[in-house]
Formats: sequence, structure tokens, C-alpha cells
Amino acid sequence: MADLTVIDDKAAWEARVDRLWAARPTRWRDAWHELTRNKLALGGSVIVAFFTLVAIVGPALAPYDYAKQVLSDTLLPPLTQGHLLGTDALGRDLLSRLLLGIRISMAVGLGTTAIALVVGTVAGMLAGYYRGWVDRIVGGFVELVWGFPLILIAVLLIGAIGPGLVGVVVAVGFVNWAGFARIVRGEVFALREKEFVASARALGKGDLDIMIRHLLPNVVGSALVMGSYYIAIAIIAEAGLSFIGMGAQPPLPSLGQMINEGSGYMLLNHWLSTIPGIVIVLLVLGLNVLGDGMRDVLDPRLKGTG
Amino acid sequence: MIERSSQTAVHELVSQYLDGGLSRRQFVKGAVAIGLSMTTVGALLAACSSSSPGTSATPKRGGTLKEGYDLDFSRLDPINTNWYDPAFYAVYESLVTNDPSGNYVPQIAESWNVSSDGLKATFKIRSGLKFQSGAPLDAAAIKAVYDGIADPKNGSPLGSIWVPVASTEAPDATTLVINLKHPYFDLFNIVKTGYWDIVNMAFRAQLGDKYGQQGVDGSGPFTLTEWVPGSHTSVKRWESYPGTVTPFIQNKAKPYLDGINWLTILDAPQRAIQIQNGEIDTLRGPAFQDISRLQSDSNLTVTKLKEWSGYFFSLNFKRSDLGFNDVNVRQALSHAIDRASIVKALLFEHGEPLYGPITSADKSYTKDVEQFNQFDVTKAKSMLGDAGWKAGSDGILTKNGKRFAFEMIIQAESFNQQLGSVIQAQLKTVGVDLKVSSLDRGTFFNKAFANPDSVMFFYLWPVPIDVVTLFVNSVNANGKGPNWGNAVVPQVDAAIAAWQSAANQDQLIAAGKQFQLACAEQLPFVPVINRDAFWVSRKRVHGWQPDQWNLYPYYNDVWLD
Repeated sequence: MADLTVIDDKAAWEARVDRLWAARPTRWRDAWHELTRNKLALGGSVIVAFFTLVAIVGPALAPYDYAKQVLSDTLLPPLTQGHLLGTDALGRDLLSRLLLGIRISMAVGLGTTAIALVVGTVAGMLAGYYRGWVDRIVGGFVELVWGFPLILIAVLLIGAIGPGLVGVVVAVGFVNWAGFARIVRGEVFALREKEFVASARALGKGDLDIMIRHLLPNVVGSALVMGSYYIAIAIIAEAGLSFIGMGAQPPLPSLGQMINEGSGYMLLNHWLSTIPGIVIVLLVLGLNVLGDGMRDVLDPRLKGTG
Repeated sequence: MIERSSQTAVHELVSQYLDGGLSRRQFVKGAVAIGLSMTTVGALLAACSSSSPGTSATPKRGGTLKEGYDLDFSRLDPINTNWYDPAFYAVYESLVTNDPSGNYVPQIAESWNVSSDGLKATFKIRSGLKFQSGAPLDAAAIKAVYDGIADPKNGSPLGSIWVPVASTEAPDATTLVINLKHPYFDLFNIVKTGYWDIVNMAFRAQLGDKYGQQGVDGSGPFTLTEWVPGSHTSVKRWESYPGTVTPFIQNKAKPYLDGINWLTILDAPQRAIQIQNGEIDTLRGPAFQDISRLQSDSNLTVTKLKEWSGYFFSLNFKRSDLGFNDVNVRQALSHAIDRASIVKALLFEHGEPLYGPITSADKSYTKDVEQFNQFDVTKAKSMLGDAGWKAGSDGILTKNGKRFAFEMIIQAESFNQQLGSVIQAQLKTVGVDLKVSSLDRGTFFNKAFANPDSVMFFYLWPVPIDVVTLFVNSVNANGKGPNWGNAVVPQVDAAIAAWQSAANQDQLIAAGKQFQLACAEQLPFVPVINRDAFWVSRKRVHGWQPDQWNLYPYYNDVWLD
């Protein structure tokens, strides 16, 4: 009888559910532990951490103003005294521009992915949770966005907004949200039938509460794995858009802009493009490897299938 | 002995070498790779040398010339275009032209004379000429073109340099008379250009806005087949071309080429790579950093000519808040530009600083302009300070709470972008915040006429003072013409009037000097640099001869090995 009394007590029942919820296997703690033991993830983390550090403190340590031109010192090769990476066609120190370029490219990658992550997660969660017409509308937008190449949509949007980094962030973020939406929608679609969601609903929890407290923690892992890939995609997209003159505007350097500026000198002064090109390769490789490691850790179903 | 199974490969190798698709070194490597001994390779090279590219003297008919062009294409309408492209030299002809020495020679007109008082020029027109559509090309047709240029409703941007013309007459089919308000010694320099090419005005009216895009009707040796802005323009041989009487053109009959395809390749280094790879046959304007490499390529011929055109940027006189209507402010900005360093760094010394409106290649050039616009940052800062501008916390000048910041539009092309960046950086050293906006060509011209703060431009004209007057004449301000800076400078207008009424060569030179000094001092625009003109062709191309006096080469004599 005593037990029945306890069960009839809604507050006590909720407290018990909360205790059980808190006592569930600590996924994030386990994930962190596993992440540090995963060599792949560790390698990617080191690369990304290095470039993150460079992006944060690098520009402050730059030996010259990134825009300072010395027309008497153009096209100096790497390891020239006073210019570790040499100078570009306008006599600007390549190292100083590279340090700022890494910051700009990473900021664009993070900015676009943050937009895409938030918009895509919200849209995907609504679609997966409510299904029906909400799902059809979100799905329609996803199909629409995915029906065109990223660069084409970005060029159209930047054409309307105007060239520059803001345009790039908005345009690439606008396209990339669809990937997050699709993944999150699929996860939520399955999760909403689970017992813990049914229990929460039986307890009278609201839809918003269920989505935020019970579903979001279960999809955020997948979203973060996706995020690491999409940061890389955004960095490449920014490089491409800057290469065609729609991204960072001179004299501001981004990695793509630097490759563009050096492209006319590839045969004689290849370092102008190859150095920022190598940085992009390493950065994207680091992000992808980190993403693979995170996927192994956070999504055991896919472990080892990468 | 060459194995029979290797014969095909050898034939292909030899053929590619003769076509210029392989260098000597590549040929040797290829021959060794297919198993030939060095003795055999030497024998083959010796045999090839007797028929190597460029040595054949007999023109061959056929083939399509592929030319890399450094700009996007304007509409092929002489009367209403901002720019005339090489295709104008293929589809149109003008009354007269220049030979490679600069003499006026016949084209549509076979002879001419100017009255002793300089007020009447009479041209004898070749009889029996037709447009490509079959319509007659006679004196009346030419009169219609020239009257069309003068008629404001046709929107010619060049009306202001046709002002000295009082009227035109066509008393009979082969006589054209141009009556002048006053002597106009420069008349021939005007009518020889692409803007005065002869077009069938009836056909033009029929096509309306589509003229020059979907069709043209000229009298040149080729007819338009396709005009695709941003991509290419193609022409094919006009089989009914009656031939030419122009003396320096050796082929008096139909052209040898089946057609010409001009490809827009805005990236200069890309043009150089494409001609080295044999993807194009000729090009204009390689990147300056590539010139020495191209000159050392045995498959290519590089022609260097003195350029008569230059880069400048305008400062909109209507921006009185920035002091652009104050000559001291304009001079201060000009003193901030280190032209000599730009020539060294960006042009690799293939050019010269521009202190006045025209280049030293022109016969009326005066060195007196070099007293102006010398690089002097201290003087620039001092002059700006005298004008009331003080440095703000970020180093940018301010006056009455207004930052010294403005926008310059440039064409989206690699060299323009570099030059824009340099000007931006050099102006920043005196506290000016310049934003450079790189625009495609169509957008650029639309915006240039929409009252921008500043326009950077490369004028291209074989007789520069004429074209420069367009950019500085006050009658072309306020959207009425290409005086994009809305410059109104009485000294400059007076010099233009003197230029346009010069009755002889001496008066023309004197007026030219007056004009240069007025422009160099008053700065209706800020001159920057002049670059040398470079043309490159593969050895298989014959008869393609760029010269100093014509903007582009004629194609009548061109043939391909």
C-alpha cells in the first residue's frame, strides 16, 4: 500500500524519474574518456587545437601589419631574413597574413556552422517530433536547398548581400543547415517513440520541455559530429568564394583569398598559394579526423565503419 | 629503322612538333620514350627544321584562330559601346586607318582632301561596296552613321569629340563631305577608330537594342556568328567580302581564316598558360610576371609595343564634403601615390609613371608635366592638414566629424585588383580610408555612370588626348558622358577647345601641351601609370601583326600553319 501511495504522489514520482535519469550511464563522461584514448580523435584534436591557438593568439604575434606593403620587397622567398614565409606580390609579409588568414577562415567556419547547427537542429527536431505537415515543410526546404550546388546558392545570396565575410557566413550557413536538419530529424523521429519520451509525456511534460530536456541531449552528439565536418566544409566554401572574389575583400586575408592572390605566380613563386593551401589541407584534415573520432565515440552504432 | 608499330606514334609526335604543340625538349623526350635512338631523333629534328613553324611562305586557307582576350566583350555596336573589342577589326571597316608607320591609308575611302581653310574634308568612297547583309555601303550610308553619332538619342558616349563637325553631306554615292565649324586637324584620328566604324544604320534600327548582340552588319571580312558575354565571340569568313584596298594589308581578297574565336580569359596568368599549352593561338596582355617566361618559349613570339594609354582614378567633384572639388585635396592624394614603385613592383619595369594625362609615347607629350604629382607623403599630409583634415584615433583623417573614407570601383581583373590594393594602401599612409570594389565589366560601367566616389580606369586609345578629353570635358559631367568625376575645370575646357580647333600639326601639338599641363596641375582625374603593350602568338600563326597605331591587329592576312 505504501508503494501505491508513493506512486500516486506525482512529485515523488517525478523525483524518482529524475534520479533514475541522473543515474543513467554518464555518456558524456564516458565519451570524453574514450575520446582521449582514441588515437584518431586525439590526432585530429591536436591539429585543431593547434590551429585554434594560432587563430586566437597568432595575429597578436604577427611580425608586421598584414596590410603593410613594401613595394621594394615583393616576392621574397621563404626563409628570407625578416620574412619567415617570404612576401607576396605587393611586398606584404606572408606569415603575418597567414596568421590572420587562419583566424578569419576558422571564424567563418565556426560562424557558418553555428548558424547551421542552431537552425538545422531546431528545424530537424520540430520535423521529427511533430511529423505531418511540419515534417513535409521542413523536408521540402531541405530538398530545395540540396537541389542546388552550395557554391551556386552562395553566389546568388552574396550577389544580393554584397561580397564580404558576412555574406559568406550567411550564405554558407543558409545552405548547411539542411544537413543538420536531416540528421536531427531522423534521430528525433526514432527517439520520440522511446519509453523515456512516453514516460515524460505521460507525466504531462510539454513538447518544448521534452524536446529540450529529453531529446536534445540525445541528438547533440550526432550534431556535434556533423558540426566538425561542416566546419571543414565551410572553410573550403569560404576559400572557394574568396578565390572567386566574393569572400574576404582586400586587403583582408583569408586562406582562400591568399591562394587567389598567389595563383598568378604559381609557376615562379608557388609558395604564395601553396603555403595557405597546405594550411587549409591540414586544418580540414584535422577537423575530419576529429569528426571521425567523435563519431566513433559518440555513436557506437557506427564505430569502425568510417 | 623505325618499327612499323611505332610509326603512328612517330607521325603524331612529328605532327605535334610541327604544329607547335611540343617544344624541342618535349619532342626529344617523347621520341626517346617511344624507343627511338638519339641518332634517329637528330635526323627527325633536322628534317623538321626545314619545315618548322613560321618558315612557310605560302599562306594556307582554313582554320579558326583562337585568341585570348583580356576583357569581357562589349556589344558590337560602334555607336553605342563603352569599349571596342578586337572583333570590331574583323566585322567592320572604317573610312581610313593607320598603316604600321602611323600614316593614314584608305579603307572604305580610297582618297580624300581637306580644303585650304581646313573647314571641309571630302572623301572619295570606294564604289560598289556592300554591307554583309547586301545593303549598299555608299556615302549616304556613311553619312547616316556619322549623323547618328551626333544625334544624342543614339546615346553615343563620344558625341563631345564630334562637336567640331557642323554637318555631313553625301552629294553622290561615292562622295562624302564633312563640314567643320572650325579647322579640326585631329579629324582623321577620330574617324579611324572603332567608334566610327561603318555600320548599316537601317539594320541597326531594325534590331534595336539587340544590335551588336544578336547580329551586326558591317563591311569587314568576317561576319558575326556568336556573341556570348563572359565567354566568347565568334566570327566566320564573309564569303562575299570584296577585298580591301588598304595598302599594308597584303591579302587583297577574302581572308584565309575560316573563322576567329575570341575567348574571354580575364585571369592574365591563365592566358599565358593557355597559350603555352596551345589552347589559344594569340593573346593580348599576359601577366607582367610571365613575360620573361613567354619570351624564352621557342614556340611563341612576344611583341612589345609602347602603350598610349594609362590608368587613372577619378575623384568625384560632387563629394565636396571630402574636398574633391578642391584642387589642393586632389593634389594631396596624388602626391601620396608612389608611381615609380608601382611600375617596378607590379609592371616589372614594363611601363612608366604617369604624371600627366597621357603617356610619353604620344608625340605631343611634354615632360613639363613631371613637375606635378611627384611622390611626396610629407607634402600630401601637409596639404591635407591645410585643408582642415586631422588624424583621428584610428589614423584616418577627420574633418567636422566626417571620416576621410570613400569607395573606388574597379573592373574585376587581376591587374586592376592589384593596382587597386596598392592605391588603397598608399592612400592609407596619409590617413585616407579607401574601399575598393571590384565589379564585373557590365556592372562597372553601369555604376561608373551612377555618380560613384571614384572610378579607376584604363583608357585605351591610339591617340590618347582625344579619349582623355571624354573623361575630363565638363560637357560630359553629370551623367552626360564618361566624365565620371564630374570634373569642371575651366583651364581644361579651354585646352580642349584649343585642341579641337587646331588647324595644323603645330597648333595641335601646342594645344596638346596646354591640355596636359592643365590636367596635370588641376587633376580632373589622378593619373597613375602606363603599362607597355604585350602581344603573344604561337609560331603557327602568320600575318598577325599588332602595331603601335591600331588598337588591335587586322585579320585579313592571318593564316595558320
